[in-house]
Amino acid sequence: MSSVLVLVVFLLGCLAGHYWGDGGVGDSSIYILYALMFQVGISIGCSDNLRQIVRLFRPRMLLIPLSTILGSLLFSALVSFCIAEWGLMDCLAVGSGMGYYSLSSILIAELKADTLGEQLATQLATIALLANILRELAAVTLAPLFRRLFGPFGPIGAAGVTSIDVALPSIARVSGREMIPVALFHGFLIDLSVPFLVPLFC
Amino acid sequence: MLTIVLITLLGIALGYVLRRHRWLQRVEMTIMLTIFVMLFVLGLTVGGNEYVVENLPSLGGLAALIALVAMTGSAVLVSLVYHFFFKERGGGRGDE
Repeated sequence: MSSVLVLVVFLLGCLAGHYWGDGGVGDSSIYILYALMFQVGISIGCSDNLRQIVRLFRPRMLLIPLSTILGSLLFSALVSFCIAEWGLMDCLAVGSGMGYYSLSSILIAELKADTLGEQLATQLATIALLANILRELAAVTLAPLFRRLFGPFGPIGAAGVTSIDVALPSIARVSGREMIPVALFHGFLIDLSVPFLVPLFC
Repeated sequence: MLTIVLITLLGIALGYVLRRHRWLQRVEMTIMLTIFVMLFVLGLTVGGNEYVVENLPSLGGLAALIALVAMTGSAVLVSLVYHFFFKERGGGRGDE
């Protein structure tokens, strides 16, 4: 499973960094980030899914990913009022990842360095990584709970971007197979929004 | 930050213009590779950071808080959307 591989690579980097240090590689990472975002853009632009989604589209379906985004942002903002170490924009940056742990942590590590300095940016990136990994795990394991408390769309909104893949089976199981198109559409739009939302708060 | 957005938009434009070209689908794989590289580098920075390593429990605690709170926020709002825009009052089911 690729998410396991992603974590393994990250942990290998942690071990290497712990024993041998950064090696100055960190400075060039902004250019790797540019390359990544360019490729992400390309994959969005040439996406086959685009046509299918346009065809099956009903305007009110937009409300679901919109609510997921607004809900994540609003409640993440609330957290910032309860803690002292991090500000509003910091919590919003983490919350706007919506389960996309690899991209959100990378973006935060790079972009927050300008406003927070490298030390704090690294900390926040770690928080973002952990938070969004946990979101993915919780979406899969707690899907029945979200279904019970928040209705058929509950597990979809909770899953965020992961409603398109990792959480899809759990969503189908607790909310019904008819929710699969909704979950796919939802996940796709959240996937589109994360590259724009996270930098917005950095 | 603006640079990132512009670069992404440029990529979207290029991807759309070249969408007929099948080899472009390979980009999914190169994205994965790039992410692996970046995450390794992120790991380097995190692992070499004494503060993070020592404070992992508290960082993790805050991460759990934000994760659960954000998920709940999303779930609350989508449940409202379901209630007001999608739930059938009377008989059968509408389109999703």
